[in-house]
Amino acid sequence: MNMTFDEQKKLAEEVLGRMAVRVWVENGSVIAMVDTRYIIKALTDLRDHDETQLDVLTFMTAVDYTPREPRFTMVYELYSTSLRFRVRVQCQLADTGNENELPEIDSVSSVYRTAEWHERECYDLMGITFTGHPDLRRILLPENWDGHPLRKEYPFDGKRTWKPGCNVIDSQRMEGDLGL
Amino acid sequence: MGSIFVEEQEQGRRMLLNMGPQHPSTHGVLRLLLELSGERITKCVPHIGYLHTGIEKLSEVHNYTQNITHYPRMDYLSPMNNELAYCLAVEKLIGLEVPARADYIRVIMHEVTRCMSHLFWIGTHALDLGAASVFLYAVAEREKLLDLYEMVGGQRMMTSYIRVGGVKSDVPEGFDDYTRKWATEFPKLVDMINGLLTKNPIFTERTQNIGYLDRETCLSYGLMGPLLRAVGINQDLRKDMPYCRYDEFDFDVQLRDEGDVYARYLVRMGEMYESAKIVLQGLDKLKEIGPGRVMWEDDHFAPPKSTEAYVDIERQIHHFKYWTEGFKPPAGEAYGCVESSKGELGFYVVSDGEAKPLRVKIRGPSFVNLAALPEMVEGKLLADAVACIGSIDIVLGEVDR
Amino acid sequence: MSDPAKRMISAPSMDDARPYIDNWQPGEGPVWLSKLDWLLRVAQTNSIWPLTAGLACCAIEMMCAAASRFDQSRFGAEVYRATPRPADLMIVSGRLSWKMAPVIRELYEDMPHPKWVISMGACASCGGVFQTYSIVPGVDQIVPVDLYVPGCPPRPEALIDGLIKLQNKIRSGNAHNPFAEPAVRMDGK
Repeated sequence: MNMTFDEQKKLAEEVLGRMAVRVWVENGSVIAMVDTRYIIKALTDLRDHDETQLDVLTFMTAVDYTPREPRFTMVYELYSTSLRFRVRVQCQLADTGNENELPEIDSVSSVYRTAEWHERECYDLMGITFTGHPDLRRILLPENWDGHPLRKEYPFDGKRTWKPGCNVIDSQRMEGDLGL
Repeated sequence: MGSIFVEEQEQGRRMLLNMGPQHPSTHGVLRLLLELSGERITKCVPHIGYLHTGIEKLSEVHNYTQNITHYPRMDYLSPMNNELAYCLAVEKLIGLEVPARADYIRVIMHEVTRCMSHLFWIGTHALDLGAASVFLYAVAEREKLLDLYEMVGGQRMMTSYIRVGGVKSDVPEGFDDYTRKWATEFPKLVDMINGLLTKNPIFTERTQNIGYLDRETCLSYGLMGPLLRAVGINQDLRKDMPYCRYDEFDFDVQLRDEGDVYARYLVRMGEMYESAKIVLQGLDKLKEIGPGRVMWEDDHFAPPKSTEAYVDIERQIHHFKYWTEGFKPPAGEAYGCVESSKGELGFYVVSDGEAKPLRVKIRGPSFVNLAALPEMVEGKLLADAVACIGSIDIVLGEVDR
Repeated sequence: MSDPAKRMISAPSMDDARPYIDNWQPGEGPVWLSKLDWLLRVAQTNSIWPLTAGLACCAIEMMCAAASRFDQSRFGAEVYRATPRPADLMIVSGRLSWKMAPVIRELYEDMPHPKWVISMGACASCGGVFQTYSIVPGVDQIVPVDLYVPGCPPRPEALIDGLIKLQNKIRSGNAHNPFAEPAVRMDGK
């Protein structure tokens, strides 16, 4: 890491321009909050700009800040293998009021191929859909699982139990009831 | 496990083969749906999630110290790496500085873990490709390292030895002799495995020019670690963003150009030699620095010494609160990452000021590396797929979490 | 559901064509039959072929048990088979998720009789450290288990100790009835 945190912060502000809502340094990372509508352009600029060359998307996730509105914060951590520094890009996503509708955001899989699997995981565990994703389906849980476990309202020991072969209605039984 | 004839085409019939979640390659419960045309793979779809444990959700229910017990079970071939990455993240969150002695112990255990993981990798990789005796030699050497783990942490694999603020307790008396003896003899074993495999015509036939990925694809897929170093990109977190005083250690980054399975093999073998060097340097530094504390001493974030708790009411209250509720880091977020044996292992910890984290996101290198498998394997023969899976060095515990 | 003790002893009459040897009790019948039965059990005991149903961390300790230091092959369990057809013993080692449960059941069904199951580790026995939404709380919900080896992960010596106990169990004729039903049926009834 050749640049100081302030230099990195200035660089991020310069490249992102008006798309960045706020850029700050926290606990050893430079974090940039961008406007959700421009996420693809922001990541593309950070990747292609000569002075940043952030060529690797280390990870991508969502954090559920219930009961704060907007509920979700999408987090994209970028790393530059040539210039050796990191920038974390965040953007906020509000939940739809409706229980049956999932919130939507643009997919960045066209910018970084690794986002395909990360976004599938986000959809699976958090229930966020990505427009433009080539193959959005559940990755870690079975295909017919009901619910998105990493949301705050889902109990960690899964009161909605899924048993192989049974339909969704049966899966709403309590965990202790094994049907004996 | 089963085969279904999908369609008949002019070139030949396409067959759908399920390389099911239970298969003899010991990489875990990975399911590959392969569409074959003869022996050539036309399409490969990995299905994961057969070991999904919900560790990220479980981390929101336990406090920061209890969470350390979950993570060695995630990448179970290199247990202490996970603990180290998590502790680095939480220490960044709090702003702790770990004492030097703890850092050197952490470095030694980190490198020992890397050797453990690479030994198991070469054992199973060679076993997949047919060289069964390498497995026995590698696992026998690994047993010595498991004995070391037991000496230091009390348990053969899942020690929970590395804690937030340092390590749990100082190393026992025979540690220096044992580790020094191991580190001086280890290069000879790696030489033996080298002698068995590196110039072996069967091994080279099966691994050279197989599973090639070019630089742009590697970067786009976010691959880090040995896979990136095998393509020629000089990336090693221990040198680029040093943690745990790695800038005081002297070692080389192993680089190759070819980007195939053989190059990754050579990179990992080279890393094993370097790890032994680093362990010896670490032991010398430990001797130099002499006895000292191995845990951060702070009234709020460090576990109190139990003898003191009986003397003072304030310390007793701290003892009680620490072990029942846990410490409360300030609200914020931090990302701590280490150069694990498989790539960059990172923990993104978000805290809201409570004793339990708000969110812990685990960036598992195997999850990211596995996404590149279809790219490596499509258009190649079925037997090459086995070599490619072995070369990525996946651990399903990390993929599925 | 019937009382577990009863389930273990009496066989439901599923197949009328089974020869009378199935319902034979020790002490009944001609001498040569009991000797033959003893011989069969000793043969089964000393050449148990495990199936590689390793799932997570315990599978690594299982492999260490098969390697040269702990050497399971002294006890006859050397030949690990990848397919269930030639295997006798399924060592379920590691945490079982609901997604993997049908696979383990299918593997169990594919193994021909006589077959036994060792549940290795805390996660396979009861869910272990991970009491979460996606982990089955004990593999005995899915397949009938003969032996539980606790530990997280159990030392290879513990696994071998378990194997010896299972061998004693088989040799003495007290191993479970292979037709016993597990707690949860796969078709959800």
